[in-house]
Amino acid sequence: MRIRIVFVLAGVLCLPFLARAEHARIDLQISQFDPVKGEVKLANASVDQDPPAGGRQARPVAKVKAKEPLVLQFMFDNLYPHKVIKDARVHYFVVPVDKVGQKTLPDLTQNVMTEGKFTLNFKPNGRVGARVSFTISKPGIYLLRVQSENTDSDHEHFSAIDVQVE
Amino acid sequence: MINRLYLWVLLSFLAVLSETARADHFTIDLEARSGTAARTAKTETAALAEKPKTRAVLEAKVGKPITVKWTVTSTAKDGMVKDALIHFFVVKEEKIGQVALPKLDKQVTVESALTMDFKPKDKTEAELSFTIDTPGSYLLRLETRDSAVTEGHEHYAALDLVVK
Repeated sequence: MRIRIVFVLAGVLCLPFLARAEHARIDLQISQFDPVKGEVKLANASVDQDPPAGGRQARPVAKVKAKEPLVLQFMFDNLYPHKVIKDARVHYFVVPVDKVGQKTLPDLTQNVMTEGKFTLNFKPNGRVGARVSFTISKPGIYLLRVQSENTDSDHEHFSAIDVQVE
Repeated sequence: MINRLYLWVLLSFLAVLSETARADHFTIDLEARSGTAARTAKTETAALAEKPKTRAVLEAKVGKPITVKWTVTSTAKDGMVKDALIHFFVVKEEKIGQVALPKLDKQVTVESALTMDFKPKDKTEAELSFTIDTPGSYLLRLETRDSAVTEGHEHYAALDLVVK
């Protein structure tokens, strides 16, 4: 009986997190462009949510060389079924960070490698996608992240990959 | 190899072919900047017999940031345009002013797409910053992939970009 109660309570406690995770689906990936092989996928990530800051999942790490041709691609699907979210934003960026797995977001007003913001009325099953070629010239650790903003919710969804440039 | 984003744009375009006719009109404002230089483009319609206007040309330097802003606004007086696809791309072209659209299966620097339902006066906008590392001529184009089949034309705005 006690075990059953523990399972029920655990299930109830998990419900809010499960429900939140269903509001968005994100498929984020980074690839290397090889002139001979074409695109070679280096890492991909799925949806996470903020708060907690930086999310719950460990970020994958893509190891690349400086000045190597790279391609980022994402698909962001809105799974929130109840209403159109007015003036929602989908924001992606590649920016230097201090360390792999850093939870806090860096300053986005400087040193951003590439960035994009889309503002739209996000309807149920609406989708935003982008594919951007870019290079990083300086070695270091960089954060590739796509995130929702201004969704009038107590949390936002994101997907992120750390890029280690040698 | 066909990429997923391109495939989605293609499938969305095919999907609207089966939709019934709707009264849909959009205005597009497209602006590209690099350093102190800026160029803008407004809405055009692509119809079979219509000759495109000469595109403005923005010059940029290899590896220097290029920023593109665009806004798409519905000017329809009533009704709703459902599942309009807003498609933007930057692709290498053979020469400035080229009329034929380059294929989007290679040498695409940036490509984006979003879907949205448009009520009258609804709008969507974006700002994208990127760099280009290969000198040459590029086409920047924003297009609505909905009205092409509903009224025999599609809306778009386009600029040329020369990277030196």
